[in-house]
Amino acid sequence: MGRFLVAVLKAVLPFVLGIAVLLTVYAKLGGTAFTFWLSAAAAVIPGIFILMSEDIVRTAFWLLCSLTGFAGFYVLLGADFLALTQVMVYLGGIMILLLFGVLLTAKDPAITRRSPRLNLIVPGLGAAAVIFAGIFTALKQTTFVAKANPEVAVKNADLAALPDTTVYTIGEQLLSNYILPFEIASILLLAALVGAADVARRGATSQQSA
Amino acid sequence: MYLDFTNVLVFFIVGLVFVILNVSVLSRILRPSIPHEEKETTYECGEPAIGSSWIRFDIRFYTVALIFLIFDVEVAFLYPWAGVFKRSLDEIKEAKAMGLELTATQASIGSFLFFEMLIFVLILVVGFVYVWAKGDLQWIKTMTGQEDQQKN
Repeated sequence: MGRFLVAVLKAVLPFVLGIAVLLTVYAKLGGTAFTFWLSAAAAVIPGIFILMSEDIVRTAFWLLCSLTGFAGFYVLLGADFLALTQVMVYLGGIMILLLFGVLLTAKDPAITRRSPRLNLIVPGLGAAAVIFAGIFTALKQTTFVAKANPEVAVKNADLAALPDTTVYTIGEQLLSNYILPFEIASILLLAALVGAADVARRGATSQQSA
Repeated sequence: MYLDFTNVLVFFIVGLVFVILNVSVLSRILRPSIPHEEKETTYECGEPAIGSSWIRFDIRFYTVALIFLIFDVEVAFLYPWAGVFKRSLDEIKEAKAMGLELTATQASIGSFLFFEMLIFVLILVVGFVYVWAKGDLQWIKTMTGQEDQQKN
């Protein structure tokens, strides 16, 4: 009986703790900040797993989590159409393409990692430092309305004042001011379709002859 | 808008909790633990697997995925258009119901929107026809041996 209880506790405790942590964070931060941190965690933490994972398919699925996190950011920024497009095109389309690419090329799911060498680490760290410095200075020099003037920020954050959806605005702009880019997008897609099919066909013939 | 996405978030969290609760909490409590080597092996309908599943797939799958992606992006453009189109149609309907004369813009905007999207879709249909005509969508349908069986 004692052993059974231990097993129950072992199974239930992490679950209860996880929910408790989530609820505490939610109570502390409030809805918007909670969603932000949830999205941020969903976007960044899978990034670590993408780098660590040994299996290329798992890498693809961690990328899926990461892209979902970015959809959360778009929602928070009030870009509902962009968020849904992110889910539809990236999660639905690009991921399928990635997985198919993996299936087509990989003979073995395992990724062989070379041990990091100094001549790769140093430029890597350098590039990371430059990007970090750039983002940091950009953030430093930006005047955030919310920080400079909290009262205005609260007024702007009035959720009821936001438009219901951005789809109509985007549609009206696309079909009036940006009608030429809209049609050019179609031609671009056509070019992509024809070009990709052509490249794939060449691959098919070489595969057959090989 | 935020309310709608809160629905999505609640669904997401409830789904996550449901899965975790069932898979790693309830099942861990209820199941007997009798580990066996055989249980860890890959199986397919009770048959032992032959070879690795990591074979190279036919490149045709990739072509189909590419075509899907192109039309997926096209659908993303369709949504804002559909919203605007419906709104303009509603406007016309409303004006007619109230017995008002349609303004010149109202009368022409519907057909303008319709033909605009028709052009957009037709340009992509050209690509679809190209891919179809070039035989990229052709599958190897018959295998040797199967053909004879079908005749009998």
